[in-house]
Amino acid sequence: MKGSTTANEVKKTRNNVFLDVLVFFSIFLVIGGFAYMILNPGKMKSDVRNSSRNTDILTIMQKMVGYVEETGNIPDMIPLNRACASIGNEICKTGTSDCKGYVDLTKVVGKSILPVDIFRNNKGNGTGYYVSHDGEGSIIICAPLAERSVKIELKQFMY
Amino acid sequence: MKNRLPREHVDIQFLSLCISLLAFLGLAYWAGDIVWIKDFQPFITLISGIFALFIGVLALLRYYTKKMSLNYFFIGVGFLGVGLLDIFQVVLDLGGMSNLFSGAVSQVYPVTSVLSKTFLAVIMFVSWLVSRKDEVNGKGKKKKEAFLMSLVIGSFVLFIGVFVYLMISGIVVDGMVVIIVGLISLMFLILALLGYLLSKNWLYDDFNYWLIFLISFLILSQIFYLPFFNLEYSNMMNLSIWARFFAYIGLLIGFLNSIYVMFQKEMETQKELAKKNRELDQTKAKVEEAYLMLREEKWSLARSKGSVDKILKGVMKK
Repeated sequence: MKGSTTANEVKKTRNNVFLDVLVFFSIFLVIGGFAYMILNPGKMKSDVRNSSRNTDILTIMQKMVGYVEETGNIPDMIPLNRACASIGNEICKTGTSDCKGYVDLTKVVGKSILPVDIFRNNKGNGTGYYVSHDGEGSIIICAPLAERSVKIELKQFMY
Repeated sequence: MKNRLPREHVDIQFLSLCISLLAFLGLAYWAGDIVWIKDFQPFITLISGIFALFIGVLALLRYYTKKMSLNYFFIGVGFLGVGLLDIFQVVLDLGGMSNLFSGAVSQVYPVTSVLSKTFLAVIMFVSWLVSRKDEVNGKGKKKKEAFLMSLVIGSFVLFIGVFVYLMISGIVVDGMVVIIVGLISLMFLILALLGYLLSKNWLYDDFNYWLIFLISFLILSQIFYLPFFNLEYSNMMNLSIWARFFAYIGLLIGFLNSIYVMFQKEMETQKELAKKNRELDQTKAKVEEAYLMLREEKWSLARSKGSVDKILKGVMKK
């Protein structure tokens, strides 16, 4: 009987020591969490990706402007839709054989390669960038895959 | 003599506090990609204000039930003030309740909201000071109560005055002023946390742990508000409000827990009383039984004495 009491006490002490260690460890984790949030490398990376998305949609828009200046018309393959990020508005990757359900801009960009969103690399036939026109002479290009709830959209009047 | 809480219980409490803080930091890390969180900012502020009012009422109720600790009185009056300030802030920011879910807050960095935060920080610090003094002496409570009441009312009037002045005159206060005031609030909160931790009352009373929980989340809220983390401004404002919301929930749980403990104690007292009554009844019954037996023996003795007398009389006659 006395032996089992001693064993219980030893077990209890071990549990207490284990809990103490856990508490100290979690305090260090909280401090580490604070330090991590001050730097937040995840956000830094997202910001870099978002800025590259901005550059990409600007590049696509420049190609659109060039086409409109040359032909005087908005490319006929661009769908009429005020909401840019809609199904059927996604731009097809350059060199893809099957562009069904996507917007094929081969006529607009010629031989140059269209930029692709980092999240769409090696995934599907879409670039991750969407295009539409509002029926009033403006082309809208957007990047709905932008991170951290940032809205990346560019609207430009063509005439 | 205060009963010390089991060591395991205390360890688990602080472990859960650390896990909650870590979980909140995790939420902050992922919050950038959560779209709906922005729409809830005014709503959560409003709910926090209502919770603060609840806490205030509960604390005052607790104080007036026993009138033991002025700490509760101070927390009660302080939280009532903070709740009113929070609700006032939401109504002013939104320009009416109809915009509650539209998320259209007038400013990204509302300067006036710093007042309720500072008020709460000062309240927490002073509540610790009061609890510290409570332990030293228990005399002159009425004087102390009057003094504290006037102090709270005075500071509340001061905050309201500044608040109304800012709103009426439309003064645009520099971001720098907000950061300085925010830092002062943070300082008060950290001092209060240290005070409560060093007083070691959390070893004896669960409520003190919940106070530490509250202050920890308020510190987190203040850090998000200032802002120290690498996050978007709108996200930090949101998370600051959410941290405050969790802080209030923590204290509310603390109060509910203390009510539960009080009921449990009351039940134990009732059980003890019933047990004592039962024992008393049993003793009474035994005494009665003994009395009856004694009486019977007395009677039988008397009867036997009567028969002896008869025999003696017979012998004498002979």
